This record gives sequence, C-alpha cells and structure tokens, in this order.
Amino acid sequence: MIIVNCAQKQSEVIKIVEDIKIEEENKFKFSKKEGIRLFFESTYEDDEKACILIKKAIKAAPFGCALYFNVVSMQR
Amino acid sequence: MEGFMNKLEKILLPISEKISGNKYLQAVSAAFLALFPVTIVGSIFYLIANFPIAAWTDFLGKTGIQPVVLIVYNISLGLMAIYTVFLIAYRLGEYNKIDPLASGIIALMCFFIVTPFQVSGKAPALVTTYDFKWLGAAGLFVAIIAALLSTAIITFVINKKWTIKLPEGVPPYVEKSFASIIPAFISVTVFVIIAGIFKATSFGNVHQFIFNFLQKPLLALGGSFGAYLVATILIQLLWWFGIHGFNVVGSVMIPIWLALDMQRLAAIQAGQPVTNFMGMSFLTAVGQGTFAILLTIILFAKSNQLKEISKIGMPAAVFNIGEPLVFGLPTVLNPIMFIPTVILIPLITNIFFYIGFVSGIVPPLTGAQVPMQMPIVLYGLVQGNWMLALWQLLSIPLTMALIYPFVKLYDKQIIKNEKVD
Repeated sequence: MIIVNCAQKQSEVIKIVEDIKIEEENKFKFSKKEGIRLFFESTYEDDEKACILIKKAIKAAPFGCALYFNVVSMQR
Repeated sequence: MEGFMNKLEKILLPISEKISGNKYLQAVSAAFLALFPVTIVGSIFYLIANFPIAAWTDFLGKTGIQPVVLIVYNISLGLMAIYTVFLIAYRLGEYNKIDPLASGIIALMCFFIVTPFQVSGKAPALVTTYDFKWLGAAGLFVAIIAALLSTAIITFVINKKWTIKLPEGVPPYVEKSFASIIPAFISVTVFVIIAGIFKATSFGNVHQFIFNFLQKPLLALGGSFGAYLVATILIQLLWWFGIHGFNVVGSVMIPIWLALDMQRLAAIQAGQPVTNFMGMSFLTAVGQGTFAILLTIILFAKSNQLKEISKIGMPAAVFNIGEPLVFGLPTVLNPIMFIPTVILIPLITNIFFYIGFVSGIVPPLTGAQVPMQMPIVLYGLVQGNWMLALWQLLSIPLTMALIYPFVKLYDKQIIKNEKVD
C-alpha cells in the first residue's frame, strides 16, 4: 500500500498515479481517501522504488513544483 | 471557514503555480540550490579560518595556515557570480531544450564582457585583472541578468533556426559545437554593445549601474525585517494549504537572501560593521520549531495517534525535517494548527531572534551557510556563535509554550475520537 499525502489537486494526483506504467502495466490503483491521505494498492514489488516513481511523476506535472506532498509506503 | 478556505485556495494555488512554474524563476532558484555545495564548503572553510577562539586564530595566523584555508573561501563565495551565471544559464538551457552546456559557456562569456577589468603595472610587465568585487556578491544581479538575457537570445536564435547546419554523418558533438556559433556570436555582440554603452556613461560599467539602481534598493527592500516576516509567514501559510511554500516564495527570495548573506560575509571579512541581519542564514538559524513541537507532543500528548507520530517524527525533527509532523499530525489544513504554525510561532520566534541580534546580545550571523538540516543549538556552535546556540536553546521552551494549548486541544479531540472508535 502506498500513501500520497497531499492537500491540493487530489483528483489530478490520483489520475497521475493510476496512469503510471511500469513495464507497460498500471501498477497502482486508488483505493481510498482519508483527509489529505490518498491510499493506493500497489502490485509493484519494491515499495521504495514505487514511492520514488510516484514522486517523480507528480513532480513532473505542471503544478508539481508548487504542490507540497510526500509519498510513503505502508508495510505489507 | 470552509468557504473562506476555498476562496483562499482559489487565489493562492494559481498564483503559486504561476510563480513556481515560471521557467526564469525556476532556473534562478534551481541554480541557487545547486550552488549550495559551493556556498556551504566555502562557508565551512571561512568558519575554520575565523573560529572565534583567539588561540586557534593566532595559531593559524602565526603558522601561515589561515591564508591557505581562506583560498577555499576566496574561490567559492568570492567568485559566486561566476558559478551563478553558469548554473542559471545551464538550467534555463535545459528548460528551453537547447544545449545547456553551450548556454552556460556563452552566458559566462557575456558576463565577462560586461565585467570591467583593470590594468596595473608598467609595460612590458602589464597585469590585467578582474576586480574580485564584481565576481562575488556585488556581481550577483548582473550574473542573473546576463545568464537570463544571453540564454533568451540564443534560444530565440536557435528557435529561428539561424544556425550552421552540417551534413549528415558529422558526429553529434561537432554538430552541437557548430550549431552554437551563430547564437553565441549574436549574444556576445549584444553584450559588447551593452558594455560599450555603459562605458560611455558616468557609471563606467553595467555592474555599477545595476548595483546602484537594482541590487542595492532590492536588497534594502527584501532585506528589511518586515519583508522577511511577510515572506516567512507566507511560506507557512502556503505550507498549511498544502502548497510548497519554500519553492514558491524561495523562487523570488533566495537570490535576495543569499546576496544579503554574501554581502555581510564580505563586509565582515573586510572589517566593516554589520548593519543588516537578514538573509538565508537568519532563516535557517531560526528554523521551523519542528523539534520543539514534537517535544511538546512527546511530553504532554496522551492520545495514541499523537504518541505514535511523535515516535516516527522525532528522529527526522532533530535534523529539522518536518514532513512526518506536517503530514502525520497533520498541520496541513488542520484548523487547530493554523494559528500556532502559520502566525504565532513564525512571528514570535523570528522577533525573538531579531531582538537578540539588534540588541547586540547575540553576535551577528556572518552569512556563512550552514545546512538547514544541522540540529539547532549545534547550528549555533558550528557558526562559532555561542550566544546563537543559547538563543536557539531558549527558543525551544518558547515554541513549546506557544504550541502547548493547541496540542492539548487537538489531543483532547483525538482522544474523544479514539474512545468512540
């Protein structure tokens, strides 16, 4: 499970994360929202790498530089 | 409250996106961040050479080690404008999708064209030198303008396809070099004209003009305590909204704050009195109060949630990293935390430090850069400023007193929810 903490642009962030493709496959699926926390189911084995990939993808968005967010993994 | 927040969000987010998305501001801000190894290493050597223990500085002076140690200061902070012009042009070149290396080199040429040099000695042993003054803090704004203008010119020329085209089969690095010749020629010509025009004026050179009419007024305005307070509170306000306050406000303020620090460092090195206390080092010395807030939670919170957050967040907080607290507590969009984190703590702690400096109780910051992640108190000791270390220590109970009622209020609320669950 991956959590993206962000208060703004939540629907855009969900779309960005769900659209990430690793080896031609979408690995992250939005599961629930709790306030500023967005939870994603992950089928990618390496949580640490997944967090880096998600962070990079959000940063690359036009609003990425302005958004204050962090990405953390929950232990499986 | 929600309506007010929505209104503010509609104003703040688009402005923040515009500022942090502006490629010129981004290039300047990214270049100054990339400069940190230069400024921090230079500062460390400056602090080693000037550590305020008489026996130490006497030893360095008598053995002749001090001037050797200061070489690092002279070639880093003393030549800051040179690093700046290259890095800004490099970054802007990347954003403009042109050869960044060529952008950096051409900008460097343009900067040197408008920088006056002096000739000394007698023929045939004439010595031509650049005045170090314009290569350091005083030349920073010309460095910024030269980098942005020269890169804008070469981008324009390249986009117009006014470049030398070589036949297919020529190695890419040769093609790249030739492609930069016409843009470089045009850019350099523009700067030669600028240098010629300013040479004919009473200023003598563009540096003196920019320094008098842009750098000095801008530093005076941006370097006032009032402007500093507005900027720091704005950073906190944006963070509270979930917008990266430092990225947004820093895009505009980092060049000003760093220039102020470098100016102060140069003034102290030259034995001149310090008249301005603001700058990047003031911001990092005051900090965010993360450690003190988490200490309050550890000592006084009773809810499981806050206890858990304090355990996770404390190791990072020692190094002034606030993310676990900001997103764990959370302080973002938390109405209870608005007053203490956006207004009370930044306002009171900054005033507390400002009083320390203005009253003369705390010796002024030299302007030497110490990483933001340096734990407080240790930060002051590394600066060789014992009173600053003491002031930082005193700021912990001060911040704790400010946050305490809000932590208790929030803690009660969470305990109520935990009981229901």
